[in-house]
Amino acid sequence: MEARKSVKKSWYVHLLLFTGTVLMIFPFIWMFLSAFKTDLDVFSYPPKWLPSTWTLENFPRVLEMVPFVRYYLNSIVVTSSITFGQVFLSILAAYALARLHFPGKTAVTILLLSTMIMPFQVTLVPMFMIVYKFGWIDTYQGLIVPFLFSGFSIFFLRQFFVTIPKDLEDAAKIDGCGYFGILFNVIMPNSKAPIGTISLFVFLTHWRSYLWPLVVTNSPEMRTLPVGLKYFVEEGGTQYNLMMAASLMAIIPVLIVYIVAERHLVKSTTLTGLKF
Amino acid sequence: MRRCFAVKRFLLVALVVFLTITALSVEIVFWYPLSGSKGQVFKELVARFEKVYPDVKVKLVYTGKYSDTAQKVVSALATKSLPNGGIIPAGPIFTGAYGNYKILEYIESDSEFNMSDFYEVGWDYAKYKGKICAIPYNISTPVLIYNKELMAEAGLDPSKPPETWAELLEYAKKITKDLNDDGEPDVWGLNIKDTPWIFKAMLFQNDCGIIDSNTLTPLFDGPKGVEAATFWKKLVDEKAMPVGMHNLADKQFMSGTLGFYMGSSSRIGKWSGKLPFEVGVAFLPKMVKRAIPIGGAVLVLFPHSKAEDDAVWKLIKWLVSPENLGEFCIMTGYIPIRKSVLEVPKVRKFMEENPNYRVAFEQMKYGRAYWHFEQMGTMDALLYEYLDKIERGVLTPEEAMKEAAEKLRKEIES
Repeated sequence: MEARKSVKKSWYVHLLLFTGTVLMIFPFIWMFLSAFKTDLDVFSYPPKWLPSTWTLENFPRVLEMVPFVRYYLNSIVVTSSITFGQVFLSILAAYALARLHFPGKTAVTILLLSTMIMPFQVTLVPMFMIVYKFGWIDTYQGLIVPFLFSGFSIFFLRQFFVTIPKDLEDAAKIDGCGYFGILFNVIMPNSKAPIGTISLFVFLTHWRSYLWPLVVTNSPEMRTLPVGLKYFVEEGGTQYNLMMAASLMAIIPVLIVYIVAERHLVKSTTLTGLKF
Repeated sequence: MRRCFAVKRFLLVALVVFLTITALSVEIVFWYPLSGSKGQVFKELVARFEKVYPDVKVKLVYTGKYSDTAQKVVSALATKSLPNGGIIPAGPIFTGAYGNYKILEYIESDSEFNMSDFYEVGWDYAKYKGKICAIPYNISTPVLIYNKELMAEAGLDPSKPPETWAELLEYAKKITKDLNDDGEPDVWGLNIKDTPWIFKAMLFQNDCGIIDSNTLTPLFDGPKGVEAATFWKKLVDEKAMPVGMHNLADKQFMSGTLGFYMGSSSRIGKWSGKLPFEVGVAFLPKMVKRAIPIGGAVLVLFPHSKAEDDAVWKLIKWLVSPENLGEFCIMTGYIPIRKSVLEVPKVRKFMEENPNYRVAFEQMKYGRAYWHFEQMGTMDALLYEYLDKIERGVLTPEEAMKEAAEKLRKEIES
């Protein structure tokens, strides 16, 4: 009886989940199909689900218009450097702010918080001026270094670090740990979840970052994917078939990584309660 | 033996020529905000320029859409790292406003450059405080695009699009239809994509200035401006045009549920012959006279060394030569800003084959523009906001025009 009830219940749950899945997957299917449509098909009304003729010519057209592979590599280099660098520096800063005692600590924390309320457009020009002074226009440094520091990441981690019981730290001290020992052996292993979250957050933010890479780079060799994708958005109507072909090429490697690493990702989800 | 000598001499000359070209060649950096197929057309044109002038090497930099390009220019101005030139939206604000009128020196000193061949309105669009500081290039104008089938269904003659706004109102009302009797029309007579742009057309057409160029005083709150705003309200009240649905105008037209569409001439190429119904294009209707506000971006020169500036001028002059400009316009759908472009055989043939384009190309003679000023963007944003308030009945047309002008005045004074 109970088993039947649960089957019934799970039937509803599955229907709900299935609807959710369809909603989520719809844009991807649309993107996939549109990437194979001709110019005429993509604008036809009423919209056509399937291309009337499947064409592969959008892909070479995209590659001809923007150096896609180069943009892709740049995106990977820039985003992973920022993610690693920013998370590492934020852990150090957050630990100092959460646990150490030094004069001006509150003032520093408030200053950090105040950087969060500043919209990016306001800091864009001053930041550009600094980067220019360093001679970093059109370089990887110019794309990476300004984002190694983030008030949000530090504050986010600090808020978690203060909740870790002090006793654990004391125990480590008795065992002879210094500051770094405590950080690496006590704080970090206990903060896998927030560190994972912030890494993902930083990665996504910078993977799709557009304005800064556009402003700070000039040569095609230094540009990133979002700048490349924007090239297909036109005043007076976007060429959606090309845009979708480009987007498809942009996500396929990420999808492959996901499929290969899926088991590990799911494992870490169950371990940390984090959603990827 | 003699032959061998001739070959040697030829090789030597070739070497000298090659070395001179290499030694004298200049590299210039040129920014452009054209993406997709338009960007490709521009890149090809510049590649051809480099073939014709091997002594100039052009490094093209794509700078995103208009607003992104403006951001990039602002950053470059702050660090004095400007390119040599570019296609820049609101160019005069980044040249003339900073005392850079270099391009005017070239225009005046180059006897080959025929200024009077350009439409006067183009020059107005390239001025800051009354002085030329750019050259108009990728310009579009608003046009009236209409669905011939819907016109015929409403008992109208598709070969006679409305000539005046009064006619437009009358025709549009006939087209508006409620198909499912829910009290909300499903087919609309008229919709306007870019409301501030078309409203400025109405103002010009009603003989109303938009802004006094010398004192920067808004002029649209006078009786003629209010009259235009009142007509706008009438379009909504009499159900010729939907309230606040302007963003949907393109979709409505493409799905065949919109009779008249007003918007950029760049839609002509996108729609003509590509939609399941026949598309017509006409001049914007007139009020007391014809007038078309133009929009787009301009060619600018940021001074560097003499050699580099000369090279930029060479490129600019080449880009706006009637043949090249004609080709650019045919391929992109932008409107030629030189009269002689219409005489180029290729352009003539194109206009014969695409009568819809002829309309846009020919209405340039009615073009109107005001000199650039810093608060142009604010003005458009205010007009957008207050037209919306008029449509929704939040303010009367008179109150709205007064308030918008007052806000703009304050912004200019500060």
